[in-house]
Amino acid sequence: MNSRRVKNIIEALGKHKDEESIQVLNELGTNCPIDEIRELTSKALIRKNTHNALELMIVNKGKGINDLSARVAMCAINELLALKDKQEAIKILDDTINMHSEKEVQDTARSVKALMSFSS
Amino acid sequence: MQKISPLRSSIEAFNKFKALRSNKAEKTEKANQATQTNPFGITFKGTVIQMDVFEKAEKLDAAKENNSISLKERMQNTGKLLASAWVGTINKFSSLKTNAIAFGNKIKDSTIAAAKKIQEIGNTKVEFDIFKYNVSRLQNQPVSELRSMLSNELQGVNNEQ
Repeated sequence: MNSRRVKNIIEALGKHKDEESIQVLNELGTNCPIDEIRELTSKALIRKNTHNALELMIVNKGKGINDLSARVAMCAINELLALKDKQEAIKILDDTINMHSEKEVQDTARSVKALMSFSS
Repeated sequence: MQKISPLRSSIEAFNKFKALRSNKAEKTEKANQATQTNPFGITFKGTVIQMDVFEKAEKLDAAKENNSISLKERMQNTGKLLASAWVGTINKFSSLKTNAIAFGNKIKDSTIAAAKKIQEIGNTKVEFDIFKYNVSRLQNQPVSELRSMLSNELQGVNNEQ
């Protein structure tokens, strides 16, 4: 694998204006068995700062902040904290805390929201 | 009986020797005159030139003596000279032609080689990763293409594992 190529492609998909790029990143990136690629995908999706992209990273179990790899999850949380405009992310976190069926996901969202409120 | 003096006998012997020598010299001269044609043996395409450019001395002498070379003979001589000059020119031109052909062939070969080289360079697709996988360039490409590129890269990873 040429990591530089993969990194550039994921970055390009993250910066792409087409909404379809989110779907591509979700299908190929977040389901990849390699931590590094999931990490890169999480970063790219969160930097998009759109509703669909953030929802994927916050709500889905095993992806983004709920990833089984602590490294990937921490990276996603860091990226959320680094966002300039956190409004959309906080809204989704609130919805997750209130409405998600999984308690584990709710707890993670609550922790992240607390961190974000401290950091802003 | 007359007594022969030694002086007379010696004079007679000298005269005989003189006559013999002059006779011999005459014979040699005649032989030389007979073999005077084309003494340099000039050849043209492997054939000895048979024209009699080099006139026999006796003929010319005779003509001088008579002081009246016939018109026909003059024409013949001029023709021979012209033919000689023509052969020389042909030789010159043929060597020039050979050189020109060799030069032309050389130019042709070098031109063909250069054209092949240019074609080779033209056919070679110089694609540098640094440009192909540049983020700003990738960003402008359609998502479907990016999807195929990413799946190809990740497929390689899965195969490696």
